[in-house]
Amino acid sequence: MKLTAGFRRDGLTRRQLLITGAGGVLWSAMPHLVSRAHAEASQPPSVEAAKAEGPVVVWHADQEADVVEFLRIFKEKTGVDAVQQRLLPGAALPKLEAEFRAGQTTGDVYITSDSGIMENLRLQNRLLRYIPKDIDAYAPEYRSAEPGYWTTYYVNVGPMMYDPRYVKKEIAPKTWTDLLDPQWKGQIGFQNSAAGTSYGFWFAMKDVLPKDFWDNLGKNNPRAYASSTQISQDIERGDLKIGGRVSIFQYVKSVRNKQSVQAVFPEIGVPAVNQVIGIFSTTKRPNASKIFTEFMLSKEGQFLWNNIQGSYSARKDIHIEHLPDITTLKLRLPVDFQDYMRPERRREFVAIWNKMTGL
Amino acid sequence: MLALHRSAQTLSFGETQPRNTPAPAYIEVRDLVAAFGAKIVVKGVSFSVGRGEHLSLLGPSGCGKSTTLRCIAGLETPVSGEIVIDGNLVFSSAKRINVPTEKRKLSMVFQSYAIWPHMSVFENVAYGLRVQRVGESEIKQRVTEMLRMVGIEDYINRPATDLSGGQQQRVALARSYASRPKAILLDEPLSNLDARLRVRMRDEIKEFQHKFDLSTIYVTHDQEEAMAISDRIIVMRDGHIEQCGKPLDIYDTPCTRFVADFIGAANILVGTDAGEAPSGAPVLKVGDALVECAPGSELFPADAGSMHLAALRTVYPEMCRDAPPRPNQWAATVTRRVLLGDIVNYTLAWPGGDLRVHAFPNALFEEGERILLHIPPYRTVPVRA
Amino acid sequence: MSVLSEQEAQRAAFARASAFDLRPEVWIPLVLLAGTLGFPFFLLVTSAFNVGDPEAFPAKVYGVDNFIALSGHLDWIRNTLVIAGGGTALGLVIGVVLAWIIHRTTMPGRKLFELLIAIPYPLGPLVGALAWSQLGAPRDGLINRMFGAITGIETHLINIYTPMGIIFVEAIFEAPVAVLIIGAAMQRMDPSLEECSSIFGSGKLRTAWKVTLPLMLPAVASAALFMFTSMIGSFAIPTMLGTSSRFYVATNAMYVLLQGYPPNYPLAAALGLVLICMTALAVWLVQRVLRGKSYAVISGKNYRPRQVDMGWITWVLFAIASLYVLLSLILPMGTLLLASFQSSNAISFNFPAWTLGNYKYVMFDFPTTQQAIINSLLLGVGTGVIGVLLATFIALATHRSRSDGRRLLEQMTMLPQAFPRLIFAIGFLWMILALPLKLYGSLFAVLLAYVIVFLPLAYRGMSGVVVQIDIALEEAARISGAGAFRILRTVTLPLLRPGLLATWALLFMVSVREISASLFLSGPGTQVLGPAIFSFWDSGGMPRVSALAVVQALIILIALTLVRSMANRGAKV
Repeated sequence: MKLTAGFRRDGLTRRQLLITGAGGVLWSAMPHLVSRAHAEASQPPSVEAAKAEGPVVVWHADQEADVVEFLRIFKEKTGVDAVQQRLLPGAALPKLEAEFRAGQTTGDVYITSDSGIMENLRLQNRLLRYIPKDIDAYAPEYRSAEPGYWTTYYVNVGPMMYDPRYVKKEIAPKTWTDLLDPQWKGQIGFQNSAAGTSYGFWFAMKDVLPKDFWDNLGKNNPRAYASSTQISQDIERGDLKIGGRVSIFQYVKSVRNKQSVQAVFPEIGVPAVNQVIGIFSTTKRPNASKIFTEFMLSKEGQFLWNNIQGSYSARKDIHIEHLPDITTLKLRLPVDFQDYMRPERRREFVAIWNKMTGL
Repeated sequence: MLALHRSAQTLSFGETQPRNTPAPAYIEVRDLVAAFGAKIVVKGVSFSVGRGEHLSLLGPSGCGKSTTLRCIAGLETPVSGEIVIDGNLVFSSAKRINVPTEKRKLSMVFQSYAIWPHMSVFENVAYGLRVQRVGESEIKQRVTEMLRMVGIEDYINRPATDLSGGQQQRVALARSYASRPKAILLDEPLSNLDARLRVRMRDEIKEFQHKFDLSTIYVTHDQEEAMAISDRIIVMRDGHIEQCGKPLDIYDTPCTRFVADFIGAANILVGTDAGEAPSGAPVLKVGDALVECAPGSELFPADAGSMHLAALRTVYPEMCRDAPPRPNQWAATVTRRVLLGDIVNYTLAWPGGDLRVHAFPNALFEEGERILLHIPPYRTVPVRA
Repeated sequence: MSVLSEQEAQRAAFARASAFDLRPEVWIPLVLLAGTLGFPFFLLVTSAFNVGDPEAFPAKVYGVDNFIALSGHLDWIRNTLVIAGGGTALGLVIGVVLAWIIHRTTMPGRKLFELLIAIPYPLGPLVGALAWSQLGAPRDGLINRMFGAITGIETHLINIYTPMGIIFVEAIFEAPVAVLIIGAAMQRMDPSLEECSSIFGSGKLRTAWKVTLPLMLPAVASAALFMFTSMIGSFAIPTMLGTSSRFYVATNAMYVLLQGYPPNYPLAAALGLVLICMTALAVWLVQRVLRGKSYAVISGKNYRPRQVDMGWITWVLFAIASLYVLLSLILPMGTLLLASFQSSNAISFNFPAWTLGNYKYVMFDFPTTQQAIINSLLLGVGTGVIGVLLATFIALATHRSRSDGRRLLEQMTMLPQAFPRLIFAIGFLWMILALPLKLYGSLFAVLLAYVIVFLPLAYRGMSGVVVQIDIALEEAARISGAGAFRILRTVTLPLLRPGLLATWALLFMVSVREISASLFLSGPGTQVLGPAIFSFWDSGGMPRVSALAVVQALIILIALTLVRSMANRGAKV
């Protein structure tokens, strides 16, 4: 896995820069932000200063309840207050753009399912560099090439899911191509093209699965959902037979709720995306942001977070109940990171995915 | 009764003007032109109202009478002309003066009464006084007095909407007089009342006029109201003044066909000049009938077909079965008879055509009966077209 | 003093009439409205014709490629028309039948039904979609579960995740407006017109067909227009009931286009433009149909309509009215209540396991929903106050001012009606992103958008009240010597009070339940109830989202009750 391919700043196209936002034409008018970002790079945070800075604002697209719970414990443990704001990339980026134009962000820490977006922010000098103490616990594929800009706070693995009450184990799909069986017509659910995990799934599997896989899958009329929660909800209710790619934490949550759901991890590989954390360079609360990042990436924080959510940590020293051993899985992360970030790739995906899900 | 008399005096303005001499102009309207959009509705009207004089603007709907009144009130802005109230120029197109309504110190009674439904009777009447910052105790006294005069003091604290139409009109009157305006403008105040109530209110308004001796301008389309209430009547038609005069003068000697038609019952005769009667009065030949006009009158110039017009007042003519011959007596046949109680309407086949006649119901004639009809010459007035 | 000749007078009058007399009370709101409506519209148009960089603002390369691309998605537009057309037709049937039952029959409990039938509208489509997704899901829906339990039949009775299901939910939640509009016309109709027809020997049916219906046509047409335009832009119902069954109308397709990364702004804008054209066409068509139709029969007076005793059929009518209340109010609210007491997604009837924890969670423990509740209350009050003031000002300007441009102002005020709210909100979002003001992400931006999208509603309410106030009431005050401000304070505003209160309440309710206009505008820190419920539905689980929806419904119902009792008290004084 080579994620370390360097980015030449001068090789950046305008389009690459614009991709981060709707109004993204004024980013270059922000040179003063650049110098500030470097100045504050790796200074160690002070807890006293952090407390004085006021609550750190975390932007995320995770399940709100999980984040709220994590922030509560974070405050308990560190004494630093934190608030969360949930916004999906489609809403986050225009807001971010407007705020960078104004020279001040309302958010401090950004956690997202799309490492491509985060890498773009880094390229625009919009991220503050902070190297957490435990950075070596994260393999190179789980952090920015120059460590300290962004790091993976969980690995979102996406197996198939079904409920044996409605689908017998014998006939349940074992691998991705089993989804092409006409018996699942209209009974497969995916997240829609707006989901970063859908893109990750397609990107990671497009070269592994047959070229015509997506077209053939489209013939089975898969249904597009706005969230994995709804997919798992419909599976439990018997209104959907197969979850085509469901975030792993939905499986764990269902198991914890004593539901009989099953997750399927095909041997050919399971898609996974890095969910990453970074700090905005314009933060007004650098100390609090760094302490939050430090906590999130520490062993304690990683266990807490992944235990709350029911997901895999990128660290090898974290084990969460109900999760299959990650070493037994063949994970497929986006390998060619530069290709992963290309807008053309994304457009290609959106077109294929929308066609497949009948939009 | 004594109190009432005193209050009438305290509320009156200046001295009472004798009715038979022309009053000096108190309100003066000169060459008033008013329009709605590009449509002219008042076409250069001039008149004046004396202090304490009661003037009526009379005419059919759309004749511009209400607009004239609203121009005086300042609710409409005229295109041109001048309006003077009590020696103050309140509007002049040439001098670009336009005193806003609220500064003209007038009062108005509206057709719809315009009683504020969200206020009590007391508050309605007190409104103008409050605007004038009259003291609270004086307001109470004056309002109570006014309401007593209009006979609804029992309703003083009731919501205005609880009142009947006639009572609301009384509140409107009380409200107008309470603020001691320079003049009172009444815009068809009785047209929303039923016939019986209308007559009663008409008399009450007249009573008020006498008590307060304020100049009033009264707009109406009802000639009876105008005649009953006013010192002087201006008959308007199509945006201009058709005739102006005392009620009886206008009734007796209408000068146009329109006025004759509008006021009282008249038949318009169309005939040729048939010389002079022994009295020197002109004689008109209408069909086969010769009609002698009022003594001392003159025919107006004939139209293109050398026809002259005269108004024949056919109210209570002499009708009999037999009489010696005399001027202006014709044989006629009753073609239709309509009994109305106090009067009888006949349609007569008359040598000069059909005549509509109002007669007493004392001697009734049958349909088809031949009779003799006599109308004294002074009842025939030559008029303009 | 020169005397004017007739020609001169005519010339002077003509000169005055044709002189351009535009006064501040008209041009100031006109300019403000033109700006806040025109700029977003301009951005939508430029984006729709943008064929260059999709994220470039403003566009650099123009063409019609987006519309060509759209022609590959005609199903979105077809589905939109099917939903809006079908929903309007069904809504009209419900509206006419219920209005007739309430106003023209002797059915017992008419007054109570009149009240109950009005409630589903302020509750709104979001509540409707949420509740019916739990009632009518093919396997797990309560109705199907009950059907299966009773009959033992395996297949489901109803499936709400179908076009018919969407039409059904749209119709039952918009029908109250039709009942209101058509019912009002029925009350204003002079019964002698119908009696006249009966006297000439026409039977009941013939009278209804030949006299009543044509007289009702204007009201029916306006009700149809209202429902059609609101269904074309309806977001919550198709998104919650259609998306997961691959059924896309314009709005839920647009949502995916905009939520995706990178967002496809030009295609969404082109789709939005087509939608605007469709609503504008509908408005134009209805106006054309109504032109020349005499309203004279419908006077301002309220008659006591002739009420028909239908004999035994009365009980059938009672059943119909009850069925409507059951489907639109009792079942949905009951289901949400039931779901809100659960501790897991599945609804159980095990009472001891029920909990109030979900309410505690959404109202006190969970910051986002707590904030959404507070923000929605603020917005409801704010939109109500500002919207009513603005609408009153405009209504007074259009009905009382002598300025030119009054008609234009009125049309401009009603224009947002032709903009589906979701689309307007997108244009509005782009505008505040483009403006050098720190509006984005502020509650004020949401407030501004609400005021604009609800202005037609507020204006219609207030202008209806203003025209009913005899202008002589104000003139009488002027004559009494009162200045403009005093007249406003002592006469105009007190007379408008009941109308102000009713319009405020309406604005409060529609603001609290709104989602389309705030979906893209509200965000972190400016979370409001509609989008919060939607996002909770996305990822929060049924018990909690149901609890939040019940809280929203309670806020609306409390407002409704308060205003009704205030209005009643006002009427008695």
